Amino acid sequence: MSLVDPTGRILTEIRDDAAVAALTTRVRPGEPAGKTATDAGDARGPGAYIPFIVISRLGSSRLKRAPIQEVRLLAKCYGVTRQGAAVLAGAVSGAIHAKGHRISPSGVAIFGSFDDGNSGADTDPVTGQPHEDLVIQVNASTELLT
Amino acid sequence: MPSPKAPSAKLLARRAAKVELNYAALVAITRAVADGAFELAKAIVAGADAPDATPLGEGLVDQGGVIAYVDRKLVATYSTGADPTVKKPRAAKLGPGVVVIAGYGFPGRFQEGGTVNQPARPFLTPRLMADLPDAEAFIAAACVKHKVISAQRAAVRLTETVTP
Repeated sequence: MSLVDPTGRILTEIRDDAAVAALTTRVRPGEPAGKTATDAGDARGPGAYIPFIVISRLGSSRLKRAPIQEVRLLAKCYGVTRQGAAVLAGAVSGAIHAKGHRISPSGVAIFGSFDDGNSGADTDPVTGQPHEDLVIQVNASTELLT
Repeated sequence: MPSPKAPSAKLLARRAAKVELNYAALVAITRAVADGAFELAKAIVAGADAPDATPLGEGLVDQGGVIAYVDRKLVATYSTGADPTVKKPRAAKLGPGVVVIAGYGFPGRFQEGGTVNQPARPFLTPRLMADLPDAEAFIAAACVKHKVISAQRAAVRLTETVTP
């Protein structure tokens, strides 16, 4: 019996949301994208900030008698300014909050996802880039539906 | 067929008995809930696998704390470290009723949520999610302690609860 991780599905939904896509298409799992030959990466120094989102999995709990799990994700929404970070966090919230049941083409079943709180504006300790952190609660099936 | 002007006795309002609100019981319940929530928060903070706690390392994220307020008044504090003082986070808003705040001090949030240079290594949320389903047992125990309900009734209530 497998334990499905709905993080990828939520990341896809956030990335494909029109309001989020209008602000940024850089939605990453776990860590920001690093520097490459053609791209300076997501996390840049002061004066070169760009908006991006990092989705991390904080934890999960599984019901004992039903194939259902509750997963808590953290969406760190980095903006060029504090206001930009707040706007990006609002767009992410709108993309997932109070969204009902859906099944992805690969069979990941999500019963509901909610914005479970926002910590307010903060700055990254390394680059000083403003960000707002959003906790996302996801209720999902532990198994793929085929 | 009965006349509409003569309603049956069942429809007539009875003379209302005087209802008195038992404020003492409400206060006792509020205190018991605060006590139970405080004990639950203590279990979460004490059980969290803090990344730098001894004996693993002499690091920065080594002291957790819990503070509880009832109607904006501080009623209890708990600290896992040598320093017993626990400060309320500036962002935390106090309102009427019971407010319990638990967590680890700076720079615990960088471990929990990550930065641009390190991935998130959550240590508190997994413990929170593991302990939260047992919240009812903590509240029930506090209710027994405060004599809001009897131990027998609390035991019956817990056995009736279906495990999710």
